[in-house]
Amino acid sequence: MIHYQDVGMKYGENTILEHIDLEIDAGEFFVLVGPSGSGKTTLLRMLNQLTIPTQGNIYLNDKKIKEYDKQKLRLNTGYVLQDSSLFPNLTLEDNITIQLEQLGVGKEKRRARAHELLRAVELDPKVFAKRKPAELSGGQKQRVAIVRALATKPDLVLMDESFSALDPVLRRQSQDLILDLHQKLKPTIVFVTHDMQEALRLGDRIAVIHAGHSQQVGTPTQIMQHPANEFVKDFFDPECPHFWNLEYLLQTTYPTKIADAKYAIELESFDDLLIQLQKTPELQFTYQAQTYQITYQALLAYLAEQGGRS
Amino acid sequence: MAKLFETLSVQRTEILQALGQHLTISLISLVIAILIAVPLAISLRDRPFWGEAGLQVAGIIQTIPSLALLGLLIPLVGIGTLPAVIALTLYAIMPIYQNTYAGLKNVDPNLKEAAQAFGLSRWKQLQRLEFPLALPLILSGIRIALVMVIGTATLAAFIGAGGLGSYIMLGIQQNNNDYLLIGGILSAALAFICSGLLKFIGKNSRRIYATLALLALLGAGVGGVRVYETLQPKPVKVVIAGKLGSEPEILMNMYKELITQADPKAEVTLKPNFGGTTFLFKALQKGQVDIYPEFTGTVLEALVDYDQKTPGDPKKTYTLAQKQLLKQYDLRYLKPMAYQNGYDLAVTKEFSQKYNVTKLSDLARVNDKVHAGFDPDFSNQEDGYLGLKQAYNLDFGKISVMEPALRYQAIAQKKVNLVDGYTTDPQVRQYDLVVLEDDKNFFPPYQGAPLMNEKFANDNPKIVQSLEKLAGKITTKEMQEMNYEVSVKHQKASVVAHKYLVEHGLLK
Repeated sequence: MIHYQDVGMKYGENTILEHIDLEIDAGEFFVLVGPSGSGKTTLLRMLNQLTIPTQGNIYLNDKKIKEYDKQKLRLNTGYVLQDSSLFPNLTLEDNITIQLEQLGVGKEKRRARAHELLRAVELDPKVFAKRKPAELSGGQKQRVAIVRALATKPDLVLMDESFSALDPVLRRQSQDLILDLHQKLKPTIVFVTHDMQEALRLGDRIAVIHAGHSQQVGTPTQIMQHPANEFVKDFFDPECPHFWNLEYLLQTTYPTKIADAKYAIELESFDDLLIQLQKTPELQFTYQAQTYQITYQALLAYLAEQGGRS
Repeated sequence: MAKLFETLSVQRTEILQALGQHLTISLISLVIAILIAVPLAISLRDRPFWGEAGLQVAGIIQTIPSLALLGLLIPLVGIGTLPAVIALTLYAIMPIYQNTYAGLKNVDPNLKEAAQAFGLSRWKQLQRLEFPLALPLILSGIRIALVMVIGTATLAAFIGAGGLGSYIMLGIQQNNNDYLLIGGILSAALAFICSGLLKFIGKNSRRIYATLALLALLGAGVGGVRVYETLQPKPVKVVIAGKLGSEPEILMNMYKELITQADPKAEVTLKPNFGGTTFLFKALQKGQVDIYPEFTGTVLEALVDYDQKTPGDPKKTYTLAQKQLLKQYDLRYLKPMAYQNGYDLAVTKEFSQKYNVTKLSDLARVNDKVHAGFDPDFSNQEDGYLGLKQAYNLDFGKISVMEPALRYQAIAQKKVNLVDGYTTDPQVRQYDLVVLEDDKNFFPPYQGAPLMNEKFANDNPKIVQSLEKLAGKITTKEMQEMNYEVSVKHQKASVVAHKYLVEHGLLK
C-alpha cells in the first residue's frame, strides 16, 4: 500500500533522513520507533504532504504521493496528534465530523456518524455529543481525537506520538482501544513513538529509525530475537529502558558539545556516566572522539522527561 | 439643578434628536470600520509583513488629532455627516484591526496545523477554527472602538454633523452649564450603555448571531425604505441652517412653516446652531445648506469685498449687500425684516427716568454720571466705544471692561448703569432695560434676511414668495420678546415662531 523508495530529506546542510526504503502493507499496524530527533515524525508527515521529501518518492497505492491532490489526500487520511488538538470552540460532535463537514456530508448523517463513533469509544452520545472539549479529561479527549481520525472511514490513519502525553494507565487503555479498533476496522495505521514498549505492544511490524537511517524492520519478535546492530539491541533491551543509552542521550539537547577539554574522561556507556556524575556536579567527557559537557541537573531533567513523564 | 431638568423637559425632542444623530453617526462609522478592518486583518493574517504594516498605518492615523482630521476633510468632502463619518471610521479601524489581527495570530499553531492536516479548506479553517477563537478579542476591539467613536463624535458638531456635541458647543458658546452637562453626561452615558450592551451580546455565540440577524434585518428594512423612497416622486428638499443662539432658530422655524404652507410636500430640514458666519456661508455656497438668515451689516463687513464704510441708512446697506452678493457670489438676498440686531447701549429704567435719557445724544449731558460695563472688544474698537465717543461727544465717568456674559449680570445688580449689547438681546426684556436710540445712525444697521443661491431661488419661486412675507415684519421689541421666551423662559423656538406667525396672520 505504501512504499518509500530511497527517500531522503535535507534542510539546507542538515541531513534528516537518508536512503529510506520501507514497505507498508494494507491493513497493517506499522510502528516507526526511535529516539527523538531520529526523523521518524518527518517520515510520517510525508504521507499527507505536510512535508515533501527532497529525495526519492513515496507511493501510495502505486501512485506517487506528490501527485495526489493535497486536500483530497488529507481528507481521506486520519490524523491523531500528540495533544488531542480538538477545536475548543466546537462541540465533540462537530469536532469528530469536521472532515465530513468539509466533504459536504449532510447534518443528519454527520450526527449519526458522530454518535456511532462516540459509542465506539464508550462515550455516551446523549451526554457527550454537545459538550465542548474543555469539559473532558485528558484521556477522554484523546479518545475523541482517535475517533475523529476515523470519521471518514479512511484507509490510512497516521498517529504521531498520540499517547505520549498520557499517564501510564490511560496510555495502556488507549493502546488497547486502538488495537481493538484496528481489529474491527482494519485500516492501515502508521504509528510514530519514541517508546519501544509501546512499539512492541502495538506494531504488527516495526521500523527502528535512528540518525536518519532505518536500522531494522521486522516483527516485534524478530527485532527482539535478532537485533540487527548494537543500537537496536540497546534500544530494545528489556533490562533497561530505552533512554538508558548514551547514544540516545547525546541525541538530546541536555549535554552540550564543547571543544577539547583537559580533564575530559573517556566514557563507554550510560552507566559510566552515572558513576562519574556522582562525584562531581559537572562532567566533561569524550565519547567516540567528541567531547561533551553535562551537569547533574541536566541529567535529572533528562531522566524526568524520558522516564518519569506522566 | 431644577433649571437643568426644566431645560431637559422643554428640549426633550431636540435632545432625543441629537442623541439619535449621535448614535447614528457612531454606529454607521463603527459598521463601516468593522467591514474594513475585519476582512483586512483576515486577509493579512498569514502575511506578517503586510499585517504589521497595517498596524503601523492604523497607528499613525490614530495619532492625528481628531479636530485636525475633521478640518483636513472639509476641503475634500465638505461639511456635515460625511466627513464626520469618514473621520470616525478612520479612528475606529485601528482598535478593531489590531484586535482582529492579534486574535487570529493567537490561535494555537498546533490547532492550525491540525486543521491543515485534516484537509480543511482555507475558508473552513477560518470559519470553524480561527474566527471563532479570535471572536472574543475582535469583540473587545469593537467595544473599544465604539466607546472611542461615541466620545469623538461630540467633535462632529464642529463641522455641522449635529449630535450631542452641538449641546457642548452651544454650552461653551453661551456659557450655559446646563447644555454642557446635557451634552457631556448623555454622551458618556451612551458610551457606557452601548459598551455594556456589546459585552452582554458578546457573552455567547447565540446572542452574537441573533444580533447580527437583527442588524441585517434592520439594514434590509432601511435599504428597502430607501429604495421605496427613491422610486417615489421626489418632494422638494430644503435645508435651512442658522448661527448659534435662539434668534436664528426662531427665524428658521418661521421659514419652515411658511415654506410648508406654500408647498405641503416640501421636505424641510432644520439645522439649528450650525456654526459661525464664514462656516455657514461656505456651506451655502457648497449647496449643503439652502437657506440661512444673515445680517445686512455682516454681509458688508465680513462676507463681500467692500472697502468703504458701511452706510448708516439701513435701506442703503441692504441694497448694497444684495447687489454685491449677487455680483460676487451669485446669491439671492431677500428683503430684510424690520428689526435691527446691531450694537446698542442700554441703561436701567431708573437711570433713563432720573436723567431723562432715551437717545444716545442725551448721554453727553450726563457723561460723569455714567458707569459703563463694556465687553473688551466693544471698548477698544473704532465701530465701538472709540468711534461712539467722537460721534456723540462722550466721555463716561467710569468704564469697567468685563466678560460679555457678565455685563448683564452687572447691570442687573446695579454695579453699572450702562452696558453695550445687541438690540434684540433677551436680557433687555429680562432686566427691564432701556435701549438708547442711535439717533445719529452711528452703528451700522444689522437687519436679518434670508440668503440663498440664485439658482435655488430661480428653481423655487414658491419658496421665495413665501419667505418674502416676512419682509418688513418683526420689530426689534418683538424679536427681543421672542428671544426672551426661548433663551430665558426655555420655550421651544418652534412654538414661539408658530405663535408669532399666527398672531400676525402670516399662517392661515
